[in-house]
Amino acid sequence: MSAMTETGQPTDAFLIGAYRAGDERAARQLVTRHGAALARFLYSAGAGRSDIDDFVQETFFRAFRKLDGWRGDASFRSWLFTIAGNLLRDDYRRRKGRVILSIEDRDIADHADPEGDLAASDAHERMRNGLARLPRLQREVFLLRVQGGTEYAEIASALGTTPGAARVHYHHAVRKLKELMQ
Amino acid sequence: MTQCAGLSDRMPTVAAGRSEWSGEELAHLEACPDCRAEWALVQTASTLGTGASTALDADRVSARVMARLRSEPAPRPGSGAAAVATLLAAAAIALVVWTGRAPDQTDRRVAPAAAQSALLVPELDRLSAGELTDVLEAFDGPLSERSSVAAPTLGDLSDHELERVLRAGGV
Repeated sequence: MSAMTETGQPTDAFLIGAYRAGDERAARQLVTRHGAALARFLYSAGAGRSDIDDFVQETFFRAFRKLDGWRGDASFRSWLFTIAGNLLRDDYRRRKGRVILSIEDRDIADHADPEGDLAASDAHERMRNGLARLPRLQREVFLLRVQGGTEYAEIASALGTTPGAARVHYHHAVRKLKELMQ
Repeated sequence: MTQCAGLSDRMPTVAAGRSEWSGEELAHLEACPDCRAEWALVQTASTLGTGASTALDADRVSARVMARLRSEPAPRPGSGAAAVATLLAAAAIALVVWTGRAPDQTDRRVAPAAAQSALLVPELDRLSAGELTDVLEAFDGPLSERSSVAAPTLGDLSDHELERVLRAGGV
């Protein structure tokens, strides 16, 4: 396996190996590389904006503590998303199933097109509410596919299902979201 | 694969800017309301949360993660299985104590006491007498007050109760 990506960056596997050998800079590189995508995933999956830093921190902390659990079948990013999904599920249970999507959690755009921004913000809000109503597997398959461009085989490996089942979950999610967003 | 299915498969890649629609695909999108609706959905989802990601301070997060990793050492090798077994036992006891009843009341009336305890919490066999005492002492108060018709899960326990279960299990 190559230690470098096509763009000349060290691969995740290489950085993980370096971190396990004691190089903390490698861990920082992994946080920098995947932190933003993880924050997007968490926000889309229902985390409150003010909680995202804590969830991202906890996700990386657990990941680095349990690196033996990552066998490389799924990408490191997909594995992080799985850990984050578990954290959100536990948090949801602690709150007895209450989902809080406040107005402060809206995805506020900073462009010079107020009408367009408002429409996009409204669509994002309806999307987020729709995602919150999906079963967990459907929501996570959909987000991994749409936000990460992840292939079904890798999604299946990360979430412990089959590629065929992942495809079915994706299409169920699309169908339900279409209904919910109409 | 139908043209709709083909387009559906490519939507995430095109939304991410890693590919573009061909002329034929664009013509299909214009003619097919289902694909158009799905494309709008994928475009919205692909930009959802961008504000949250740009607000993240990766340097600060990684500094905090590194500090925690240094201050909270990883569990001792080999202690994981024992900890899990203890936690499972503690969780099983927690559920039985918290509901105040056995999972199957009919069996409870007819089963001999020894067989009943084995049926309820087989994980008990793995605990020492001291660990059992710790776990049981973590739950005080009248059982009847905790009775519930619906079977609870660990997620139904309060933070305080969960913490006591974990502490009793030595995890």
